[in-house]
Amino acid sequence: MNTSTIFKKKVPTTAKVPRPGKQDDKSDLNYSSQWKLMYLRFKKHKLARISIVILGLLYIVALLAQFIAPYSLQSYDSKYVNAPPTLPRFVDAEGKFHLRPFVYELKSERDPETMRKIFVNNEEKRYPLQLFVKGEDYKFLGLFRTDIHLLGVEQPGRIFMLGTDGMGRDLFSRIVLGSQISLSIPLVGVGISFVIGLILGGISGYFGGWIDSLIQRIIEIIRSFPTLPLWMALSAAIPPRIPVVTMYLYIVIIFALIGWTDLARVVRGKFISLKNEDYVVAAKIAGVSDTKIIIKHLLPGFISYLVVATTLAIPGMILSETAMSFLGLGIRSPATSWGVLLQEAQQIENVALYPWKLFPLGIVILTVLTYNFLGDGMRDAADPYKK
Amino acid sequence: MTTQPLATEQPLLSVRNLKIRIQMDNGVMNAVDGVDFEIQKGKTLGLVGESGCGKSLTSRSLISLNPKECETSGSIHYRPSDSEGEKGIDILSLEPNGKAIRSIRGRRISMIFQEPMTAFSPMYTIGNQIMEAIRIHRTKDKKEAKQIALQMLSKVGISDEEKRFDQYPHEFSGGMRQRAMISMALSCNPELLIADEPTTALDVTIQAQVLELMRSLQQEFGMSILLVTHDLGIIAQMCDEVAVMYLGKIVEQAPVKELFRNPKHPYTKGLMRSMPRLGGGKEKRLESIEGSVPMAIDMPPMCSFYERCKDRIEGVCNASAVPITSISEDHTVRCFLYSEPEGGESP
Amino acid sequence: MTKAMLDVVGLNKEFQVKPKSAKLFAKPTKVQVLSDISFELYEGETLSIVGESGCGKTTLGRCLVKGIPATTGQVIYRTEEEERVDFLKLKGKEAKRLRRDIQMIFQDPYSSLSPRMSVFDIISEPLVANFKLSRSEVEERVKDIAEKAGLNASYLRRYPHAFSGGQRQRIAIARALIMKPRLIVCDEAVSALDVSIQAQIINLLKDLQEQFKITYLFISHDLSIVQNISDRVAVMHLGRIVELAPTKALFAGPKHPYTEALMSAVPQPDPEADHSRIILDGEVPNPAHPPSGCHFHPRCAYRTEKCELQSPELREIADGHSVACHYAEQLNLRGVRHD
Repeated sequence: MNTSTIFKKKVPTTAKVPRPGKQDDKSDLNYSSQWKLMYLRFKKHKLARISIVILGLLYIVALLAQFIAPYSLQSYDSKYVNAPPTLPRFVDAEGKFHLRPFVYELKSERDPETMRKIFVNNEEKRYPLQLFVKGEDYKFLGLFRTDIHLLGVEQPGRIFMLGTDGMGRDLFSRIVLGSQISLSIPLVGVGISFVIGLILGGISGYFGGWIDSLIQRIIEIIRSFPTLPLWMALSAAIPPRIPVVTMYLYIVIIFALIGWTDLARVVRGKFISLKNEDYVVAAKIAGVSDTKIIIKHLLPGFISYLVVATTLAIPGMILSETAMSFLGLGIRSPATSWGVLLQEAQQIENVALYPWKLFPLGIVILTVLTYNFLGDGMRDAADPYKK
Repeated sequence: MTTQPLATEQPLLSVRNLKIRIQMDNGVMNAVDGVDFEIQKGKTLGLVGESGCGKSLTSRSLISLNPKECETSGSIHYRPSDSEGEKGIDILSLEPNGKAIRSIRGRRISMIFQEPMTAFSPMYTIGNQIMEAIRIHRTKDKKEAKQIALQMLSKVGISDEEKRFDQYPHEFSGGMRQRAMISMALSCNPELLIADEPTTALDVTIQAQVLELMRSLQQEFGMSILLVTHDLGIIAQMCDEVAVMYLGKIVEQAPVKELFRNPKHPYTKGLMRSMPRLGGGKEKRLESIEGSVPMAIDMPPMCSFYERCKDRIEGVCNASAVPITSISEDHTVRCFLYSEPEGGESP
Repeated sequence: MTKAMLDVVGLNKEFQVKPKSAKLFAKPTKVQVLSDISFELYEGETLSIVGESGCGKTTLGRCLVKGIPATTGQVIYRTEEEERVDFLKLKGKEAKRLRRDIQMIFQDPYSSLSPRMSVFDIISEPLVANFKLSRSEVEERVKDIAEKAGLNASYLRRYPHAFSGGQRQRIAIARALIMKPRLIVCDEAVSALDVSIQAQIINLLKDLQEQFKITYLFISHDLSIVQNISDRVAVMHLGRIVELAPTKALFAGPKHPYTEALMSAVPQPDPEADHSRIILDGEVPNPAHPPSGCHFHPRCAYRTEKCELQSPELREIADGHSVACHYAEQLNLRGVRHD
C-alpha cells in the first residue's frame, strides 16, 4: 500500500490550531508564523488594546510636551501661588452660553474668617480659550525655535487647568513636561538592562559551569541589596551641581545596573530549557553550527518572553524613578518629573488644602496600570502554542 | 424510560444520549455526540478509542468533573444498590459541585487518573490525603480513619504501610503512587470506579502489577469499573463489555469476546489490524487506517469515519446520520454496512 | 551476514547528580546510566533497544548521535569508503561530514519541530547548513523527500502547528532523510502516536529502509512494536544490555528472566488468550542505587546467592544470541507463540 498517495488527498484536519480568530481565517492560520499568531491572540485582549492606545497618547504628549504645555518649566508667577484648577467653561455667570470656551481672570482674596488666601473668579474679565497661541518660545522637537503653543489664553490672562503649585507654576504644564523624563527614563533604563541581561544571562545559560555560578552569585548579591539605601548611596556619588542631562544619564545607569538581574535570570532560564529541546538537538545533529542554532532556534524561542518581561519591567522603573525623585534623590527642580511633582505632595497640609497636587499620582497610576495590562496581553499572546 | 425492557437486574449506571459540546473559536465541537451505555453491577466496561475521541470527557461527566466550558446534555442515571426508587439519581440534573454530587463523588463513584502525581497534593502526606477522603465520607473518628487507610494501603500491596503512610507523594515511585491512588479511590467502598488510562504512564511490568491489582480488588469489593484506555490489549485482559468510540460516538459495543472474535465496524477492524501484537514479525506488514482523525467541529450528519473508511459507500455513508444497528442481542454497531439499506442498495 | 557499520565498544555514561545534603561543597554523586555497552550494528538492519524507563536506552541513542557526550568508550564507524573511524572522537570538517550519516527521529513530534519555522525551512535546514546549494536545488530536494515521507508538497509553506502528530512525525522523518543518512536513530518514534497512525509510520519506516537501505537503531519500550520492525533486539536493564538476539530467536526463546517477564507483561489483544502471566515483584530499581551483583536479582524469580554477589557478563550462548545471566543455559523460559 502506498501511503504517500493516500495522504495526498487528505486535508490535515486535526490541525491543533491555537485559538484561531474566526472561522474564515482558519485555513490561513496554517500558514501563519508565530508572530502572526501572537498578533491574533493579542488582538483578543481588550484591556491590552486599550492600554496601547493610552500609552500611545501619553508618549505623543511627552514628545510634543513643549508644544502642548501652555507654560514653560521656568515660568512662575507669585501672584498665583497654589491656585486651584480653572477648567475652561462654556456658560458664564449670567447663564449665557458661549460657543467658545473661556476662563475668568483669577483674583486672590483673603478669606475673611480664616485669613487664608483664596482665589475667586473675576467675572468681569473673560479670556476665551485659543488654539495655537503665542507664548514663550521653545525648540519644537529640538528642531527649530517657535513660540506657538497648542492651547492658551491671551496675556495677561492665565489658564491653570490643573491648578498651580507653591511657586505659582502651572501644574498641567509641569505634568506634561515631566512626562518627558518620567516616561523615557524607564525605557532607556530597561533598554540598557535588557542588553546587559541578555548578554550575561545568555553566557550564564549557554556555557554553564563556573561562569554560570559566578554570574548567578553576582546577581544574588545585587538583588540582596536593599534598594533604598543603594539609591541613596549611588545618588550621593553624583555631584550635586551638574546639568540636567548628565543627571538624567546617571539615574538611568543606576536603574540599569539594578534592573538587569531579573532579565538575566529570565534569559538564563530560557536558554537552559531551550537548549535541551528536541528541535535544538535535532538541529545540532543535522550539523547546524552553534551560532546558527543560537540565532535561529534559541533566540526566537524566547525573544517573545523577553519582550514581555521587559514590558512588565517598565512599570517598576517608572515607580522607581518616581520614588527616587520623591525622596529628592533624582531629578531636582526646576527640571521636573512626576516624582518631583509628587515631592510637593509630601506635606499633609498640601494634600489637605490643595488636593490637585495629587494629580501626578493619578497619571503615574494610569501609566503603570496600562503598562501592566499591556504586558499581560503580551504574555498571553507570547506563547501561541499553549492551549 | 418505560420503553426500556426491564433487565433481570437494573444496571448500576445508565447513560442516555450524552452530548458534550464545547464552544471553540472556530465553531462548536461535538466532543461527545449522543453516547449511550450501561454499566452492570460488578462488571467492567471498557471505553476504547484514540486521542480526542471523547472517552475521557465521557468518563468525567459521570461525576460532573468536566470544566464549565463543556455544555452537557442527556441523562446519566445512577442507581445505588440501596436504591431510592427505581429511577435512581440523574447525575446531570444535580448541581455541579453541589452537596448531592459531592456525596456521590469519591464515596460511591470514585476515579483514578493517568498521572498519579497530579492527583496528590505535594504538600500533604499520602496517608493524610487518604484519611481525608475517609473522614469526609465514612467516619469522623481520626483513629478509625487511620486504621482504614492503613488497611487500604496494605490491600493495594504497599508493604511497610506504617512508614509509607507518613511519606509525601514525591517519595513514591510511579507505580506506588498509582497504587496509593487506587487505595484512596477504594477507601470508601465505591460502587463504581472510573479508571482513566490508569496504566498509560507506567512501565509494562508495573502496568501488569497494577492491572492485576485492580482485578483482584474488583473481585474482593464487587465494584463496577469503567476502564478508559486506548490499548486494546488492556481491554481484552480486563473488560467484560467494550464500547469503541470514534469522534464522540460509540461506533460499536459488544461483550469483549464477541468484539474481538467478530468485530463489525470498519474502524474496530482497522484498529485491531493496525495494532502491532506479539507473534508478528518484520516481514508482516501492519495494516493501517488511512489519514488522520478529523476535528469534530461543525460535522454534517454523516458517518464520522467516512473519509478514512475502506468500505464506505458514497451517497449513503456521507448522506445522513448513521443509526445504530443490532447485530445480535448485545452487539450493536453504528454502520450502514449492517443496517437495512433504505433504497434497496446493498453493499 | 553483512558487515558491521557501527561497532560500539565499552560505552559508558555517567551523570553527575547534585547530592541531597545541604553541604556547600558536597561532591556530586555519580549515576552510571550506561555501563559497558558493546554491540555491533550491521548495515541495513534494524536493531531495537527495548527496556523500561530509566534503563538508559534514550541516553544510549543520544550518545551515539553525539547529542550528549559519552563518558568513555568508542563508537567505531565504518564509512562508505570503508574507513574505520571513532565517531565520538571526530573533530572539525570530518566530524561535520560524517555527522550527516547518522540522523535521529524523536519521540515527541510536538517538541522536535521548531514551531517558528515553516515545514519547508525545517526540512531544508540540514541541507542549507551543510551544503551550498541554489534555492531551486534545495526546493527540488525538499519536495522529493517530502513526497517520499508521504507529505503533500503543497503543505510545505505551512507551520508545524497546522499538522497532526502523525504528519509531524512524517516531517521529522523527512528532515532526517534529506541528508541521505546511512543510519537513523529512532527514539520512541511512534510511541506518542495513536494506534492507527502508529501503523502508518511503522510501515513508512519499513518502506524507506527498503528503498534507501537505511539502518535503524530503534529505541522503544513496546515489545509488540519492536517485534514488528526489527531484525535484532537488545534488551536493556539499568544501563546494561542483558540480552541481545535476532528477533525471532528472542521472542521464541528468551534466555534472560527479565526478557521473559517483559514479554509476559504485554497485554495481548485477545480476551481468550492465556492470562496467566509473570508478574514481577517490586519496582524498577533506581539507577542511582543499583542492586549488587546482577541488577535484576531483587525482582528475579530464579535468583540464587550467586546473583546477589556476582554481576553476570554478556556472553554468547548461541549463534548471535548473547545473554547476561548466570543460568541462561539451565533456565527454561517462556517465549511468545508465533502465528
